[in-house]
Amino acid sequence: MSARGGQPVEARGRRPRSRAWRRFRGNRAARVSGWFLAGAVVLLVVTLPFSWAWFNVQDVQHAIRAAPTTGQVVSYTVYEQPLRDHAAGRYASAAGPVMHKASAWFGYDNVGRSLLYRCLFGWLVSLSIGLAAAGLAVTIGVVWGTLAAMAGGRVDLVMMRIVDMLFGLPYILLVIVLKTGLETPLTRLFGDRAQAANVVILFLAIGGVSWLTMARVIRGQVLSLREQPFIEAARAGGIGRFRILWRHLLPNLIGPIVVYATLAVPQAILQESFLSFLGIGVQAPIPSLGRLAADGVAAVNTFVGFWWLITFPCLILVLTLLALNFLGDGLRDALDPKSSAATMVS
Amino acid sequence: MGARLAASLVVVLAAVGLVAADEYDPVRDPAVNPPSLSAAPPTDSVADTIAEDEWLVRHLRADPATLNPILMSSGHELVVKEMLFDEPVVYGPNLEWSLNRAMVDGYSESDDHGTAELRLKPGLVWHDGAPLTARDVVFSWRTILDDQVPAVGARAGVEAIVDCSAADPLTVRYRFAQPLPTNKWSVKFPIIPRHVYEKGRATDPSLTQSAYHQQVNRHPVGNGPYRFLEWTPSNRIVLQRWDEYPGPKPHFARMIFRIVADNNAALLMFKRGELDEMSLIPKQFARQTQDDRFAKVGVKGWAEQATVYCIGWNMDGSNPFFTDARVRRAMSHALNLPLIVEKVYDRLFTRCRGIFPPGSWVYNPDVALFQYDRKRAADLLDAAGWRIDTNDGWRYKTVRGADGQEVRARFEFTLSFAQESKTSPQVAAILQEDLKRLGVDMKLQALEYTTLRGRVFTHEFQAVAWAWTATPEPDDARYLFHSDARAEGRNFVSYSNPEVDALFEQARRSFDVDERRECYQRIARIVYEDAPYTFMINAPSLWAFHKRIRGVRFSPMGPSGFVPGVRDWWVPAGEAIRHGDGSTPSG
Amino acid sequence: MVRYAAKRIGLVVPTLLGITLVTFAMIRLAPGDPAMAAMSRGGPAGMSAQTYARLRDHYGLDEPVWRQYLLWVGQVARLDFGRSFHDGRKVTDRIAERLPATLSLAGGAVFLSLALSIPIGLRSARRRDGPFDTVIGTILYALYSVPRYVMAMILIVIVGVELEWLPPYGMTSEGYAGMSLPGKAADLAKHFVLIVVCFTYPLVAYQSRFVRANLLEVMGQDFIRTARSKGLAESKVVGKHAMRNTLIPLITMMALLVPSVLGGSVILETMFDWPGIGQLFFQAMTQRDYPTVMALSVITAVVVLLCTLLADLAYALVDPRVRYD
Repeated sequence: MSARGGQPVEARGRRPRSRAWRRFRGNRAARVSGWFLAGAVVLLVVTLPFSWAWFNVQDVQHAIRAAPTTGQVVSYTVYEQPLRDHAAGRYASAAGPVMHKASAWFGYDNVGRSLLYRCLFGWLVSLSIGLAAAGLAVTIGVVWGTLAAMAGGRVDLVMMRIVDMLFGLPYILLVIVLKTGLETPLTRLFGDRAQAANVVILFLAIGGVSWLTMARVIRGQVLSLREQPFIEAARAGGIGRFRILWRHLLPNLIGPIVVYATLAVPQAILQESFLSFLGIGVQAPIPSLGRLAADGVAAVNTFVGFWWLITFPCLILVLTLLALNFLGDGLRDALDPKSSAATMVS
Repeated sequence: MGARLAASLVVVLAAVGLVAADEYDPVRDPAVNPPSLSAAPPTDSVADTIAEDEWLVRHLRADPATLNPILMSSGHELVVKEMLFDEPVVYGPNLEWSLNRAMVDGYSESDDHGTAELRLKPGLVWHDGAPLTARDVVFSWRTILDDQVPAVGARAGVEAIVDCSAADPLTVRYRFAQPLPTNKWSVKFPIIPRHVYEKGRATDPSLTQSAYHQQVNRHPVGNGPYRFLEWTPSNRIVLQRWDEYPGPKPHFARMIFRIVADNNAALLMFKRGELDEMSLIPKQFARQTQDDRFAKVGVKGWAEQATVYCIGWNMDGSNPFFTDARVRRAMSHALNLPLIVEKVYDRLFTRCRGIFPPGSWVYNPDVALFQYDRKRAADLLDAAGWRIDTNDGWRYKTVRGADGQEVRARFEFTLSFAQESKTSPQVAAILQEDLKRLGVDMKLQALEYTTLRGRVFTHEFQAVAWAWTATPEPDDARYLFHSDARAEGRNFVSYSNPEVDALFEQARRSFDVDERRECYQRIARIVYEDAPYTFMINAPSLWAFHKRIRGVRFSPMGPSGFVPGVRDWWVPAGEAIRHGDGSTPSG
Repeated sequence: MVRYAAKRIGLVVPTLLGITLVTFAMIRLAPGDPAMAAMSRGGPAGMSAQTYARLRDHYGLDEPVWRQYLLWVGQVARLDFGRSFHDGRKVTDRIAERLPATLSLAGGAVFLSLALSIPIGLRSARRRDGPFDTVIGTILYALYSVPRYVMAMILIVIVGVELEWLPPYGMTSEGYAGMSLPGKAADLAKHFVLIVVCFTYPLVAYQSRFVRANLLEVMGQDFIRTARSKGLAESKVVGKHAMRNTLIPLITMMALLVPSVLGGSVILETMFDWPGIGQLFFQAMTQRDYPTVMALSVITAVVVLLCTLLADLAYALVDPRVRYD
């Protein structure tokens, strides 16, 4: 990876960050994307009580694959209600509170669940997976890359060969095994919350393998910075290794790290959707954008009758990824204006 | 910009989406089972009404692993096998035991049913001209039972024959382990040419590893109505009608199996007229074959089939719920089958009426079927001691735990199903909702098919969505429901009922048809009422045929796999589209 | 440089061994085994514990796993990948007959993406933030955000099935064997279009942005300014001096994209019913056909390692600072 550093900044020299901020604000696409994502997060948080309560409520009687409508709501029951009912000894189904009519805007899926609520909740799940996996990837990647580069010699060699090795493993196999191998211990750990365990496994599976590129990038950056005159000067001045790392290297790495992290989020979301398509992503009934899109593809494949099942999840997925990519791009231009196409993620 | 692009995408998808059909009813679909499809071939001597040099292009969903009939196990392999290899005993139109008159002059069992004798027709030959004699049959029997040969499907049943010998070139003698009425089925096994396979055995006893066996397993020498011509992997297998075939010759000069893995791709080919026959999935049958393009080329065949979809309840004691028959019955009452048939299966599937299908000679029409009735389900659960806790609405019961301590257990279990299945999640969701209203918490678990299979074999599940196809011999149900089959066989749910065991043993030894029928009918009733499985529905045969094809009949296992089956299919002379002159679209 | 190269090449073998060891262990950890998979294809009466035991024995699964691994390594060292558990054929034969389909696909995608992304990147860089740069950039980013399988489905349904413009499935039409040579070529080409588009569009999006960014960086450097000041035409400055300095990083990056191309082929080949090695990998995985999975893993790993190696060597050539010692 051609990770050439930009003009290195002397630690706390000129104030590059305020300049970066100005540059970022000048980037319209990035600005709009930022607003879009912020708005989305607000929306998701505000609607969370609803999406959490309704995302898995199915109305198999009436709403199986019902088309979107803006008029009367199709679905009509909520299931806490019947439970209390027959606790009192009555078994007939009682009509519970009615879902908001917005629940019909996106139509219903193959077991009569509101696609709107599923999309909202799945959006949140996808963003969380993306953030968590990217965070994990960045953390491991930065530590690994820096250590390898600083240590140099044989340690560097071995560490980077491990990266090569993981890079060469068949990814699908790796994820299947990570998932099946970890399922039992994690389920035991989480007890009843097996669903939560699944999400954890998934983000380990994605984050755990996507740090490889980060490690390579960071190592390249550090190696390249190490030879820069200002570091050599510092070293000649008798400053210790860790002090150099802390005071001189890390500030110069912030740019690529932030950029990479931002771009790793959409990458992880995309990765999760790929896994969902293979049937090894987020486990039902928890939705993610990828899971919803994959289900939609399966339902629609050569039969376009159920178009809403694919249109809405895909639309949200594409817009989210687009916004995240624009944001990452904007950050890169701002933080590291001259270089670093190299930090784009593969 | 991105938004505009996406918006136009919505418009495109929405515009195409307007063709959606809501409800489907096969009875009202004019393309289903038209009279022409089953029209019998003209029997008088007006020979030119049948297009005898027509080609037939059939769909195959995967490459066969082998064309050696004793190594085969998958359904799609058997479809090719029956055209290449003839067996002395075959299935009749209703899957009854019948002799293949093209090969066999007679079959008789001794009075004590301990031995049997099969007389082959004189002058039989293999496709390569070598004579086919009793020694080939004996060789095949020995090979199938050879432990080094990985025969999976062929081996079942054959173990009942303890000795097989050639009394003379035309007479095969069998000696059975026990005098049983089912012995006649064990004689139904595939035969392979001795002169071909004997050669390689010394160096490769498994018949699979050596280059020689690879060659002969993929370029088989058979004795069926068609001989092997060529096989292009992932593409096609081509067979040619064999002129020396001793039985009635089929009506197609050439049979081409097109290998197409994706069933959407296959349907598209069908609509273009490139396939003459394919099996449809329910979604295709109900929703993707309503257009003009399909109507122009094809018709659909819809027939009941002996495939049972069910939910198995593990009663080996590993969970506190399903050892109690009342609980299992409650589950059966809680399943909303009318809704499932309508919403999930587009009215194509019929509800299952127990372990033997209605067409079977042992079907018991008097079994009272479980009706969807949540009130009854609740009463049964109450009676079984699972009572609702008024605090949270779930059912609880005090049970003895593994360590002997009494614990209060919540009624909460996991239903596993194959993640490849499109309909299982829907069925599960419907049941889940009803159970929730009953105070029972059912969790769902989708597993990859191979994994699921492993869990079921080792009894590591609580409830499982499962399916099997019933064979025509009712004794085969013993492997599913006899208590002896818990450890070694396929009694995955660990069902055990001494009465059922005794009835199976009695029926298995009796040669009195009426007595056997009575036993099996009683078994059918008891098993149904014990509900080790909740019997849901019978999956139908769903097929598409090119509309020029006539003479199609369905057995309980589909339109082929029996005699006459495909051998009776024909095309009227005026409607032939692929003449065997090389200038055809299917070259 | 030579020493560095020799060292890196020498390290390929142990890395490869490591990969195979981990893969071997992983596939054994995955639940289910080939005997179970074979039985799940079997008829209703064929599945008993004895059959299962016999099949396990037939596949040699009862040996200790480490012995199985050593046996396998010994075999592979003699370039023998064994026979498929599924159909008993030589694994190398099975792969060889499918390799052209995947290679032509990958080759087509790489060629097409370079042919598109270099001019796009060049033009975007020359008029940075101009209308072309903005519009194309947005479109490419939007495309880059569409998962491949969604794009594949849209293309199959709309272009292939509804509009019938192009054949959506398979590699050849019926009657391919009887076609004339140009007819064959045209038929193949038609079948290539949709699947190659699906392979290519994310690559184009990614690479053209890469080219653009790299050119922008290079053009800010001294030697370009010198070239300009010498009065060279702008097209020549960009085309000759700047582009040359962008190519090596581009090729480096292409090499690192190979794993993602191979990973994508699993889904795309399955969806387009394309008889390549991605489809084979998917089938072999469901069948737990260990020899085929292992052979495909080795091939993938070798390709990926070689690409990484090439990338690193090329990079070391341009930027000597990253070499070891």
